[in-house]
Amino acid sequence: MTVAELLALIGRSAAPLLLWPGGLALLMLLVEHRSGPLTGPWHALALPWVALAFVPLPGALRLERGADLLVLLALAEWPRLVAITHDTAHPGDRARGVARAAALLSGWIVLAAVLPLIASGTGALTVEAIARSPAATAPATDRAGFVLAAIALLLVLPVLLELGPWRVAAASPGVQRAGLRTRALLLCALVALPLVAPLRDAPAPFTYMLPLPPLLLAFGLWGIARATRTSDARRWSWLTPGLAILILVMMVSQVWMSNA
Amino acid sequence: MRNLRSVFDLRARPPALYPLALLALLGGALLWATRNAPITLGPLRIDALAALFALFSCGAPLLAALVGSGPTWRGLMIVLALIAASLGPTPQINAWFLFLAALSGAGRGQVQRSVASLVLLAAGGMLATRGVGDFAARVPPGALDANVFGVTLLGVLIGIFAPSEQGGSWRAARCIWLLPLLRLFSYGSWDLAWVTLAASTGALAAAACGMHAWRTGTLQAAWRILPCCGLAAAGAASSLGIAAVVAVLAADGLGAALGRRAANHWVLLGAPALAIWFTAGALLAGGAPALLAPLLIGAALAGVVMRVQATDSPAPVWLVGLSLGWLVLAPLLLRIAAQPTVEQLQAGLSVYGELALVRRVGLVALDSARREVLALPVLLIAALIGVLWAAIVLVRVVNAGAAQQAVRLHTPVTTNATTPAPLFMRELRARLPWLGGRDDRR
Repeated sequence: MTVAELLALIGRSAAPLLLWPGGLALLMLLVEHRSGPLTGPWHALALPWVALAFVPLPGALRLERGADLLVLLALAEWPRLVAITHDTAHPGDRARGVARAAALLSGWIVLAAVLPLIASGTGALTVEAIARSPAATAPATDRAGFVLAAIALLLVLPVLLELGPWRVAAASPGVQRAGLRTRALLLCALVALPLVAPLRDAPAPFTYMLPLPPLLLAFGLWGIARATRTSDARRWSWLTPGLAILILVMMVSQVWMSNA
Repeated sequence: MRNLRSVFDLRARPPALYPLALLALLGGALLWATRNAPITLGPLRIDALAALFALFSCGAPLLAALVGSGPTWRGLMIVLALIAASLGPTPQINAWFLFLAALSGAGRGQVQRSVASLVLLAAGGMLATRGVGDFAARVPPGALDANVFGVTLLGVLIGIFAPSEQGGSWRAARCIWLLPLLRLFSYGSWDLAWVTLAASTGALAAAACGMHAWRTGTLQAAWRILPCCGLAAAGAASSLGIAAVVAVLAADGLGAALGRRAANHWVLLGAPALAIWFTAGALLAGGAPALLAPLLIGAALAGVVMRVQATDSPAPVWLVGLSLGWLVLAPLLLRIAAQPTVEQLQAGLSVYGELALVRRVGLVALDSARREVLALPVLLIAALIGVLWAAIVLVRVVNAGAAQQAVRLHTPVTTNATTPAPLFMRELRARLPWLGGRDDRR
């Protein structure tokens, strides 16, 4: 890549950064701005925002070079790390910091099972691997791997979004909150990718159904949050290792299927 | 600014700073001299791998010395022994000098384990040379067999897990133990069973280190995850694995400088995260995605302990800058540091995993079919963050009132106000009973 191409790439990046999907984050930022001044470390917002620009959602202008899931998830976790750091430094906010750190560890224990499942099912951890459904002519094991990856991502989402038993009672201040919201949006977009993938190449009447999976996802998440709003974190703490084991069983069965 | 000035205030530095700086310069020169082909200095034949480890074994204590926790004169002896160990052309000679280093600077437990390690590594070397007493003798082709490999791997494992005292130079010594194993690549390619054994041992050891760090809350155990990553990456036996080992060395060097200080900036965890990324890439491209699970579990647990359990004295700003520089310039620096080693060990490496640099964009990990398995467009991400940063600064300037408030909120927190680490860890452990862990109240 030449310098001119690089500059052109950065110039074109304004579209995913500021219009779609990053513009969505901007809109949310404005909504957040009404509920309090945006103060705090700017990078807590910037990193998940950049990660959002890398998600190849339908209709979004593609950045020529994609990132992988590990990098996007690391960028997504940045506001959470900043929030935990902030809370450990302020004794009054310790409870919030502990709850958030527990949610972070719970989420990553499950992710430690989900990411190998995706990698063994689709052969890579790049975002393209979950954004493109395998062709109809692909072997059945490839398609099964893709479906299992989508299911595993759906299972881990409530833990990552700190819903229900993993909820964090008090909101973080300023930019941290905006960054956490952007992070939630990014994770939802990532999980929605394999759900909208079959509709991308579908014939005309089905393309109008593209917003349907994300809407269903949002509705489901709202339902989960509402149903579990009084659940106790300690009683449910064994759910995450159970989930991780379930996903590992899925992986073993998938590997077994592809070898059979 | 005050921090920057304190770097150049050389009166307050430990006495071994100047010799260390000289040695590090020599190490850099050696790495440069061996970039095309191994050089011969008398009986010594120094290749890029040896130069890399020599630079690491004096560079890590140098960073620690700049922070102020570097070695004393006695520590310098250890560093010299480590450099000699790095330059040794066979695993036996590596082991002898590592043993000397252990003798001159460690507690009882370490000496005992080092003896065990020495015996194993020397036995491996003897097996390879078929009993020829001459240590400098070149190993005959085809000498690398399962006995040599198994004995060497066991010796390396014992070396990595030997207990050690606090201190930068000894932290660095952990990764040096990877050298006898990597040296085997110059004797021939590895069998599939050995590759599997080394990679899975490394990944599982990483998980074990994470769990140990979580249970005991010790920072030492948390940093020990890096040599385990190095072991897993070496087990991948590919050029990507060698690049991962270089990333591990860099992370360990920066970590040695950090000592027991707080990783007060999350950027400081960036170098270990990059090492984990490379290791994950090497395992994925090697066709072992299942090994990602223990690696990620270990990394998450160790990361939390590193952040929470550190002491309150913050790390200097220049170290944060160095860490950030390593993150952003990793594509360029890795090409300089890892490429000669990869080329000189090419005969022993497999094709399952390759690192490709995308010019001015970042890094890509390729598998044997040259498909992308991981992609880290680090320069692109940095450029985009720069664009956003400019936009946010613009908004802040326009919205001057909010900016003033930001200054108020950004007042540095006094160290007395932070939550004590054991309290935080105790409450965190109580929240995740399935992970187990010691109850600090007892």
